Parts: sequence; C-alpha cells; structure tokens
Amino acid sequence: MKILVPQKQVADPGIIVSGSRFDVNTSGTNTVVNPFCAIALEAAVRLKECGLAAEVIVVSIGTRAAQKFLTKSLACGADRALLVEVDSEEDLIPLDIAYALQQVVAVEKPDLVLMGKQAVDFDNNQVGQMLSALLDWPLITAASKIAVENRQLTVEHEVDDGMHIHTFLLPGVVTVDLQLNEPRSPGLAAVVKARSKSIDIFHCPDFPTAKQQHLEVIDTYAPHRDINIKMLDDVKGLADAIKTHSYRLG
Amino acid sequence: MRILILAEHDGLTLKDEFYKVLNASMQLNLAIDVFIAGYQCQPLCEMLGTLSAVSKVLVIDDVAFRYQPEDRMAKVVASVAWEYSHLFCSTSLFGKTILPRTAAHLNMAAISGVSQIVSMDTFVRPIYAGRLLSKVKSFDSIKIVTLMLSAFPMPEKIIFRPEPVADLVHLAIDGSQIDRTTSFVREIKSISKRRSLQAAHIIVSAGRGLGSKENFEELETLADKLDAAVGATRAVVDAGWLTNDKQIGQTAKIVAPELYIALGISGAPQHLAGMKDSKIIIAVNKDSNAPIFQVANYGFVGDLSDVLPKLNAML
Repeated sequence: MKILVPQKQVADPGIIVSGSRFDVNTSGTNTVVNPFCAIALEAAVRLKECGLAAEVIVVSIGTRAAQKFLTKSLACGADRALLVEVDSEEDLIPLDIAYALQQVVAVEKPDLVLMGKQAVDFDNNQVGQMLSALLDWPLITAASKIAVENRQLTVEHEVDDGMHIHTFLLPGVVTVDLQLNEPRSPGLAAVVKARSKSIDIFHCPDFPTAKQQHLEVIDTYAPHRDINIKMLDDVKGLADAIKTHSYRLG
Repeated sequence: MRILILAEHDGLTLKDEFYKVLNASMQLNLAIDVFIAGYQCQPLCEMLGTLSAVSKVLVIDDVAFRYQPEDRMAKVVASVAWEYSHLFCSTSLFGKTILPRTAAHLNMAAISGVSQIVSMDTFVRPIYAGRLLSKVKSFDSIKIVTLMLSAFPMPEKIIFRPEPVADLVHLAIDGSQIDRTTSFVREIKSISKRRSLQAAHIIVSAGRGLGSKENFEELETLADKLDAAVGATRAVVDAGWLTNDKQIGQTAKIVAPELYIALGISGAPQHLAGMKDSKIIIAVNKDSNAPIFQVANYGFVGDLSDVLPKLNAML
C-alpha cells in the first residue's frame, strides 16, 4: 500500500494573531506543522512499520519555505516529499488544495490518502471531503482507529453522539482526529539524515482560483465580547450566580 | 433566487439542526425548498410539506439512502443544486461532510462554520480558534454554506399548515450514483441520560483541574441539579474521564448555551473557541491568572474539592 499524506504549515496556534481589513497578521509568529497533519503522518509511518504500507509520501502546497517542514516529515519516517510550489499561499482556498492533491494522486497513484481533518488556522474542515469527491473515492472523516487487512480498511471514527465503525476497499481517503495517536519527535540522527534527501517539486497547472474568483475575504477583525468579570467572594455568591442564571430555565 | 436546505433527520423526526438552519435561512427572504433523502420517509415529507416556510420538497426515498451515505448524497444534491442560489446545512457531521463534497462536484467553494449571514453573498466565520472573524464574500452562483449550530437559535415557534402545501417532487436515482462506498459496521453510541451538548441550555464542563474522581461525582451531582449537559476539555477526554463526543473546543463541539459553568478549566484558546459565545460563563479555578477569567461573567478562585460539595449543598 502506498500512502499519500498532505502536510500543511500553520501559524503556531499558541500565538495570538491580530487582523486587519485585508489579512491576518501572522508576522512574529512561528510556523509549525498543523497538528492533525502530524497525526496523519504518524499513522502512516506506523502502518509502514507494521509492514502494512510500503511507501509514505508527504506533500505540501506552498512556497519554498515549506521545504524545511517537509524535511522534518522525512525525519519522522516519510520516504519521499513533494512540494507543489506556489508563489503565495494566501489566496488558496480548500478547493485549490483539493485540486492540487487530485493532480498529485493522478501521478503518484497512492492507495490511501491519509490527512488531517482540518487545519487549525482557518478551521475549514473541507479538503478531505472535496478531494474524495474529485477522485470519486470513499471517505471516512475524523478517524480515531485504523485497521488494515489486505485491501480493506476498517476505521473507527467520531460522530456527533459517539463513534461509528465503517469499512471500505482501497483506494480511499481518511481524515484523522486527535485521538488517533501522538506524533513522535524525530531524533537528531533522523533529522540529519533527512537533510540529505531531496524534495521533489511538483508542477500543478492552473488552480481553480486562477481561473475565476470564488471567494474574497473583505474584512478580518477580532470578535467583541464586552464583559467585566465579577469575581465572587464565597461559595454562596457562586451558588447565587448559578441560581440567578438558571432558575428560569427548564 | 431560491434556497435549498438539506433536511437532517433520524428517519422518524426532523432534527433541531434542521429547524435552526430553516430559521436562519428566513433572514434572506427568499423561497426555501428542502431536500430530503431516506427510506420510507413519506411521513417526514408530509411534515416538511406542512411547514409554512417551505415551498417545495425534493425527496429521494430509497433503501440505498436509508442512512444517507454522504458520497451518494453529495452527488444527488449536486445534480439538483444548479437551480438554487444558496445551499444550506448545519455544522453537524452530516452537513460538514456532505456540503464540501457537493461543492467540489460543482467546482465551487464551500463556506464552513458560518456564525453570521450578512447578506445574500456575504458571511462571517471564525478563524484561528475564534480569535478572529473573517467576513467572506462569495462569487459562486451557488453559496454553499454550513451554519454554526451554536450561532443560530431555534425558532421561537414553528408554523405549520393543517395540510401539506409544498410541492413534493420525487427524484429519480441514476444507477451511476449507486457505486462503491463505505459500509457501516456498527456504532458505539455514547449512552447518556443527559441532553445533548448542542441542545442543552446549561452545560457544566470539566477541565483537568477537576483532579479527582470525587470531584467528578460532585460535578455529575451539580449537572443533575441543573438538568445540564456535561462537557469536557481535551485533557479530560484524553485522560478517558469522558468520551470524545463530550469534548468542547475549536476542533470538537462548538456550543453557546445560556449558561456555561467551567470547572477546573484554565481556558486555553482551543477550548475557548468552543464556548466563549455562551451567554453567561461562570468559572471556578484555583489559579487567579487562568485565561478563562478573561471571558467569564463570574469567577471564583478556589479549590474544587472544597467548593463543589459546599456548592451542591446550597443548590
């Protein structure tokens, strides 16, 4: 089985960002791998370590700056890394990413696309769904356990009120959730070795947003919540506050 | 211009999610049609037909759609969506999965997790764990949008007509729409006597600071007294104290109840994203610098082992 694992880089979720009319200001923030993407890579590498996958390929859609993160993915156990190079990541929408991944799939012919369910910067949670539509492949989202036998995948995944187990025959798309695993940190030896590996540049013809405009961000601003917190002195005050705001409810 | 809403149902009744989306859609003052897929769902179609806000009901009634598999749903919806200016659903798993897939079939963008409808083509949605809001304009001929359940209220009243008035249109299924898909094996349902997080007026939420089994039991007692749902931070779910579906946060459930009681929750941005639009937030934490106090209406600094038994005795 060959697994393709998309990797997105995001502004460090621990850092406060501000917004302006035109854009999110991420200057001064660190860039990190999207946590869900790291979990997807870990899952793919573990499948390889179990002998269930032969090759793990990572791909990012971004500027040349993405290369250093792809090197880290190689250090975490990926076999090859691809960069779909773009001049600017800012105007890309999920439809563009899904389109680019579709082009990569057409060339690389993976059996499984294993990817994060959402990116923690723009919180869209769309690319996996869109990619599966473009490929006409089965899809399971928010996976928290994956089992493989021959070409059959059995996936336990989160639903609104619990978990479901679905199964499908490869090829397909699976998006991952937090509970699937805890990604490893590569050791220094792995990092050094990965630096000597090259990253292949993948050329993707016109993205959907190059042909027509779909969306435009016309403003970015901080939400307003006007609260002066009332600190309570004792448990009775706490009980009273709860009673006040719940007595009229069912 | 017309709106198409995907009906969310469990085979027997229409879900709250559907009524919230229907209510929100009425802001645009356009005709509203509803698409429903299922098996032996004639009673649901009739119910939809009696809603005064609904003009037409498009239905697929076939055993292949009994559990509304999202891949088949997306294809069928894409085939009928061309006549519409708007395609709406909620941010439930159903909406989150089907709408982007439908958008890709149509080569259009999807706008996910909208918290405000500004106009026919402009919507607001949170980004960066809700620390920023993004106002987005769509140029697509169909605005494909999932509406955040926590941002739109249930209608105050739902007006029915005594007889179904809306047109009912049965859609034919094209054989190519029935193809290779995922197979359902089983469900692991979270058994809870409590209201669901999205429906609850009051949520009592557990953070890592809750610490002990005894405190947990006190939290359950508090939730019982208030007829509240119980939620959790990621730390609590990771520790196995509560199941995954109870997690409240940026990448889990986003809620906005009338009252949110945060116990032992420090207030990391990822958690705040899931609850900061609650009408009233009451937080208890032993650290006076906990970020939760920046979004709370009321705060109490104290040890939960001490506070909870006393609190429960007073309520």
